[in-house]
Amino acid sequence: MNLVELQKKLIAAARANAPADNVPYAFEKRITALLGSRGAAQKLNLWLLL
Amino acid sequence: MERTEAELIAAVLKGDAASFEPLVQKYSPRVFATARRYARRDSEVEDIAQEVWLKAFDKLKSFRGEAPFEHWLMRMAVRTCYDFLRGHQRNRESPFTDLSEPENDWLERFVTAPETASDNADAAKLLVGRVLEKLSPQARLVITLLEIEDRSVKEIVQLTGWSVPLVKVRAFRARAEMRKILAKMAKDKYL
Repeated sequence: MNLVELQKKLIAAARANAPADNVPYAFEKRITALLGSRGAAQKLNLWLLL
Repeated sequence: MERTEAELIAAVLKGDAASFEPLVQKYSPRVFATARRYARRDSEVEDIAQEVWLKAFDKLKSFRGEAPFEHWLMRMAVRTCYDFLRGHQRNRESPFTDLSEPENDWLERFVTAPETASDNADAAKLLVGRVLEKLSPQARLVITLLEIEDRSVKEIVQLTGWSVPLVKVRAFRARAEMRKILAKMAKDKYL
């Protein structure tokens, strides 16, 4: 088996099949909510320390 | 009126976390496409994307605006994917004896008449996925960036933080590692 040629073929296959760029529904909202909850938790920790 | 990226970033840095959302919305397709190069499961892809955005938020102060935000973000995405690969080195040692029928057929075609084994076949896509999974994290990253995404050494230096000689050495080793894996695949199949 010609391994160099096989390597070229498989790399070409990977190039020909670019991954999808779809994003799960409302992903940005989830990140915003996560940042918000993280911020709230940090404030609570700070309050508990005082 | 729509705010510019610089305005959104300035607002986030002043404490308005909601201004981060339009940036997440705009650049998530690129982040997800990058994550899908290195992770297969949807849950893993989503975890990577989430980590990229949380890191970006936490490190936003270090963004100086000298280069586009997208470049800064993609550096973070590539480095997060690399960390993911280092933490998830499963399937690297498994043999190639469980190839599916289409994969076996594609390999047979390649052996008998290489020109008939199409680069665009689903089986070739599956096979290359298996081979990439068996590469070391460093090799997989270099092969993906250099050979599959066709990036220059200079771009890889910027994305990974490696030096030019290190990228070249790792590229040389990665190609050799890939050929070794292909040799193992041939051995598992035909011996």
